[in-house]
Amino acid sequence: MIETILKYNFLQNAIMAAVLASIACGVIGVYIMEKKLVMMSGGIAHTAFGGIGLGYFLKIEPIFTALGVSVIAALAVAALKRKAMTDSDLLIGMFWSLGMALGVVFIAMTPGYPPDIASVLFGNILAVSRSDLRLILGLDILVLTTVTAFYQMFKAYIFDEEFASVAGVPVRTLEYLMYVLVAVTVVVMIRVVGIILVIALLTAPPAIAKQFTYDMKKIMALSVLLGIGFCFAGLWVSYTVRLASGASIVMVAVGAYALVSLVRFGLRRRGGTAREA
Amino acid sequence: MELALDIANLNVFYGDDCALKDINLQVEEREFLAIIGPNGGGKTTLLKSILGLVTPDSGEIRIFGRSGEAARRSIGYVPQFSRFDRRFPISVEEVVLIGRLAGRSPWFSRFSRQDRQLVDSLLERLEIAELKNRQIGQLSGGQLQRVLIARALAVEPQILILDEPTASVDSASKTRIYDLLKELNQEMTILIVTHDLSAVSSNIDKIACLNQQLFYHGRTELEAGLVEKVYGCPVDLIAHGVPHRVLRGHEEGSL
Repeated sequence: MIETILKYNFLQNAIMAAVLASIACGVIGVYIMEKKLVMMSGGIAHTAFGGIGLGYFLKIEPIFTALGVSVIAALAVAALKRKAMTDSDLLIGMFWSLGMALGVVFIAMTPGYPPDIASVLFGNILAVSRSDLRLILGLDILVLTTVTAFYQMFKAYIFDEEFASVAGVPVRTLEYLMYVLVAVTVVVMIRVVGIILVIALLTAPPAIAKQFTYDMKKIMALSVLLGIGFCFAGLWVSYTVRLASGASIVMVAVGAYALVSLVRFGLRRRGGTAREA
Repeated sequence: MELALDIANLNVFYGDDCALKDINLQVEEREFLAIIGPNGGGKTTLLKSILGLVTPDSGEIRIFGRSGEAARRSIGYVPQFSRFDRRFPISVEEVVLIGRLAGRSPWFSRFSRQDRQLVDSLLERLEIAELKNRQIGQLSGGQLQRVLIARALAVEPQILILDEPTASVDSASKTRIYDLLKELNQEMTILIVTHDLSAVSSNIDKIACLNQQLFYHGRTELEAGLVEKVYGCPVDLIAHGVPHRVLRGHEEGSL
């Protein structure tokens, strides 16, 4: 396989994309897990499809419009949640479908041959271009800089929003910022696993990492490594069995989570009976 | 003398529902005040109004003469430990360090050696120094409660506000917490909110009963009739500690 990688540019790009995307994904995945923003992230991911459609319609690179639309959607959900006192759950549900609907409408209105929607929905890491890589790298730097700059503040905000607010931590700003980070991360992942499959890759690595350590920085680092591992393993599966890459990556990630949980469950039970005996 | 807490004509509505009606409350410096009342009586709303988490419809809240965000700088807030996600990846030291973020610029906040020394001395004082590196899920309820008190003290507050500090801790921990609060009361004003009437001990200077309106007492002696009025039914009060009874003796033949 190594020979093939050296031979083909698209495989090198795929590997670069796997590494770079896993960085943002692993770090923000931990925030998504701890702040319980999984549904929120799903909603943002699906509004990104509206952005993709808009891009095709306006003949702009779709990934940029996806970024714009999902960031706006994230800010809108955050603002509406504060103002309307509505459950953000309901809002997310509506944004979720509305985003997809707009995407479908924009694409239908676009003249000419319809674009490859499947690769947007389910990802195609083998189609990552140099310019995609540059965008992913840029967004990675943005995410890592923000997280580093506000690391203590984010931790205080996620752990106990009320106390943080009383202590003068700018919780509202942090909330908006976190939603934007989620939106950015989702866009980073679109090329790799697509809009529909992104949730598994945002949640499985941190959920596994948390079973081994309670140190937030270590959970982040481990999530990044796991994400990279899953992408590589998924790529390999997709290459050998000729399956779609996005689907393979997701199956590897969720399979690994199931396996780790089962093994730990088994060990705990054995440990329990050993202690009783 | 300047009042530690001065609440004037406070009204809070949730939609059409009146949660707090014309609350007036003055707390002097180094007083130990307990606000008691039934669940749903507005205790949490009053607490959140003082903490700036709820915006009142009318009225004014001043803390050491200041209002708004500046006022909150002098508050050390101890929430109920039971509402925490115990699996959160954070250690005891990290929790207490959060208190040092108060008033910081949000950019690139790092903790100084003084911050860490202060945290160490607080952990020492609360007898939880050996738990410093534990994740919070590995603590008992009473221990986590003391961690949260340490975090509030890390703010270096002038007034300590505790929400149900003795809910779901065993009676030994309860006694320790009250001993600790009594000690802290030498340095700062303390306000606790609770529906646990047994918490009303002899340490407390004043009691206010809250059920939409505030019934205020200048001394730690509740009148049975008033408690009945607030709670809507007769309530058993336990007089512990000793110097004085919390409740007057019930009359013969009364319920």
